[in-house]
Amino acid sequence: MDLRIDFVTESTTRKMNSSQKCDFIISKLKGDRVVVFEGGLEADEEAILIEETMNQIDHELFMGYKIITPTPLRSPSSGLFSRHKNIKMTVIAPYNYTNLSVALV
Amino acid sequence: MGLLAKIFARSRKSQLTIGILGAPNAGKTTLANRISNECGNGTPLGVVSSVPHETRDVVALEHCTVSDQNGSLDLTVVDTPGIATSVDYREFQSYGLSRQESIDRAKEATRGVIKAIQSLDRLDAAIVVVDAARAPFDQINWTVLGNLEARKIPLIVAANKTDLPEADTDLVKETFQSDIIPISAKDGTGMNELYGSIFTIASM
Repeated sequence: MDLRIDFVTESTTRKMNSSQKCDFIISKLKGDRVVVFEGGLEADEEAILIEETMNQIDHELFMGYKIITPTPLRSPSSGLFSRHKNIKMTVIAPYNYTNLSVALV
Repeated sequence: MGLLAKIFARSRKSQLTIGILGAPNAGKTTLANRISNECGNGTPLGVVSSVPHETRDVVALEHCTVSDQNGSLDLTVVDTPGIATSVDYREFQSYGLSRQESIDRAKEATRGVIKAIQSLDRLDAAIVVVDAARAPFDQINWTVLGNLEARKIPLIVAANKTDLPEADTDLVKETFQSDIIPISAKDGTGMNELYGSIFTIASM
């Protein structure tokens, strides 16, 4: 199976509004590509992405995605939302990538 | 009642809309039904099933009154469909549904996910239900948590299904790196602690 990863730099994503980012991501996913977003997605953008994905699921070729926002390990006392404090990138892969995992080392 | 308790009681909200969120099959509807039953409604909010995405619409129970020594709280409890980033109709086939039935159910599930996302706008607080008998990390929906955080909606993490021998609430706590409330929505264990947390949020 071929794996194609599209790395999208922060300078590129800065030019897009939330809707454009979601359209961009979904078009890549439908092309069976993994998208790496430098800078990550905002919480509201992730919500929009879910809504738009649900609207576009066709139950044959596109059934959604997996999303990972890898971050360095944090201390146990750093709290529930600390994971969001140091977002550097978001990795989004087509749903059929069943064993997707990403680690920052 | 102490002076501090009186001050908190006086400043406490009298009405709260609280959403029940979490991964599919975490026990959200079981919890909603228990709350509904305990506040005297007696009518279940939804059907409980082992098939994922059984709840495909947002259902609200209004005027659910719960009380403590400081007074009562008028709760609106919002039971939501599980929020997911994918819906695979083949999953439903593994529960014995035909292909067409599975596709139809998957279509309803996608609409349910959208409704669940949209329901976040109306919440004052949220209970994030985690199945303590399953790997917790797989159930964390960072999109939901991030949206709750962005909207400044306080949340309670409820580690559900403590009635099951394989439940591991310590692992849930470690994974979420947050205080959790161990509960069994099925047998009612931990419900007083859960209501206590809701009262705490109402006092914030």
